[in-house]
Amino acid sequence: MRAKDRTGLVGEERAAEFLSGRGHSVLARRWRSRTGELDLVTRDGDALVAVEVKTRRGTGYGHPFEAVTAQKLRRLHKLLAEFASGQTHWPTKRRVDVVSVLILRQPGTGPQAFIEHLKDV
Amino acid sequence: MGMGRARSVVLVGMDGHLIEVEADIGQSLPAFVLLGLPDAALRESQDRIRSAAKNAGLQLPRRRLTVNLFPASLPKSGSGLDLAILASAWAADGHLTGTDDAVFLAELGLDGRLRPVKGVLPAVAAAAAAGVETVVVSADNAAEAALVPGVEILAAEHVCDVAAAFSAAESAAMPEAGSEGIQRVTSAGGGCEDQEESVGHQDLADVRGQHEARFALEVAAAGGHHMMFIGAPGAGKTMLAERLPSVLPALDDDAAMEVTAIASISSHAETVTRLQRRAPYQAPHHSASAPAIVGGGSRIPVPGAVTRAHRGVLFLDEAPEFPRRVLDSLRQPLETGSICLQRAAGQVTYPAQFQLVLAANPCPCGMNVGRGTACTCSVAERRRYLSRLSGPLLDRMDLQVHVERPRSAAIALQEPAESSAEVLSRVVRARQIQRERLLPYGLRLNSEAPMSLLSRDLRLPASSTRLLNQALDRAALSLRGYLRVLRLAWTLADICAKDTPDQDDVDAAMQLRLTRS
Repeated sequence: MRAKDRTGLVGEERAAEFLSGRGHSVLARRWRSRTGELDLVTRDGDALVAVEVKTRRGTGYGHPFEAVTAQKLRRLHKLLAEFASGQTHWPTKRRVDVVSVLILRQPGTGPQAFIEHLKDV
Repeated sequence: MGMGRARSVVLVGMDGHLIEVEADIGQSLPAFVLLGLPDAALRESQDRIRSAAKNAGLQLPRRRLTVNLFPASLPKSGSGLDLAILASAWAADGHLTGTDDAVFLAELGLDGRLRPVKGVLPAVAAAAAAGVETVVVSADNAAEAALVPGVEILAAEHVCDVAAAFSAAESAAMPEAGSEGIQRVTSAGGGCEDQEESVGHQDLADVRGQHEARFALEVAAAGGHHMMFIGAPGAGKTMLAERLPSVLPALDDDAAMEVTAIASISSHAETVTRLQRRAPYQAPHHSASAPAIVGGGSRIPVPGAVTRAHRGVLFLDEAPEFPRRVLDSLRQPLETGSICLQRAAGQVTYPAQFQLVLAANPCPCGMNVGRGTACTCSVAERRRYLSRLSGPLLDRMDLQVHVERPRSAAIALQEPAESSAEVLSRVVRARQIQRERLLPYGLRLNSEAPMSLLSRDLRLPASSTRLLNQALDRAALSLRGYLRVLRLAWTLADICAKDTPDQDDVDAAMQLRLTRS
């Protein structure tokens, strides 16, 4: 496994923990279809949420949020619709969230994750 | 957090409009939305602002940033809003406070340096008129901004200095201010004068002989009259015209402010640091187009030569070589003292009170002087040449002077000719007399006196104007010509410090106007 994939996995793990703490129940991780992949699918109250997790080890190549383009957002909405159509029961409310995980090395304490969450983008 | 405000000024022509910049940070993916009719240069400011903020060490939030420029209906252009947008964005992020009432006027470099912008003087004047108390400019514009009295000017080298000056107490992430910090520049209040009054001016002492032309030049300077030199090549027409600014008195405060403001918005690269007290001098080449002379350009028109010559001299050398369309476009500004330009993007009025000086050869070969035996032109050529100057334009020339080639006697004279300073002292005195007489009517110069004034309060006795009235009756003069002869007669009297012009002055004025070959 390459370093960048491991970073991504660690980020998804942290994001799932973070969202569970905020009352989300995780329905699926790394759900794939022919169109692409959803990092996390959760249920927040009565809404079905597709979560895109972006993890970076620094902002040298830009902030994680900046890597989410309009094209990617369109694909996420399409994937969420595909996911929903595969379920027998699904909530009527759907939305796409983006979570950024910044893993920064702090002097002394080792790596630390800074998580930001944008709803319904 | 959320909303921030700052102010700036956008210029349309020479009129400054106060702009309110509002920034809003929304919880959404990073984007920069600029509303309120920005032009291409202003749209590019987004990337300058993000880079400048990052390199200043106070990054903009990675969220959706919406910036609105009020009033939204006014088309905005230029880069002078950069600093105001950044200030409002930082205020929205909670880093700055107190930016609501300050005006910010500067372009940003990618490293966060503040760069100078054009038109700071009229912009700050507009802000002061609107009641703004604090204006932030780049250090390079500080001297220019400080020419406006009654406003606190803050000059900064770098956005860090601006951030430090407006920093909110609760913001922790404030970058170090530069070594200079922000400088409070106090208004010079007119103390910052143009020191080198006569530097760069040629002196009338260089002109040998030419007594008639020198006298005409003095009269033109004293009364602000338009004049025309006709003469053979090498006779000294250009030399004389170039020396007209040297016998014009220094501009008063209001005129100096106008002239400096025009220099500030004109495309010249040099920055304005003090009030321009010297009368401007513009000598466009005869290949100039009409937009170059009267002002033009695609969106909001930029000032042309007539505006840059405001309160000064517009000299057209080889006047018949100018396209006729260009010459005739001068007629409106000559009459009204301003030029009104219309474009799809809007209408602007620039001041254009200039003194017109034309120089022309008598014919294409230039030798048709005296008996004209050396002239090689055909009669048709000669007639065509000066007829390129249209009648309506010539009618506006108060003095038409023939410049003869000087003889060897003029050079042989040992004593130097009269210097500009001596002539200037007489011009200043004549202008003083005019001002005292015309002040009750709100005028400064004889050349501005209207017919209603000259035919009522300043009416000359019939004995003085007998020949002039005859000329009008014989249709040798237009009514405008009649008016202009009267104005010229008053100037001639003022030069001799007489109370009113007598018959000699009126006849001399007619002579100076009508010396056509």
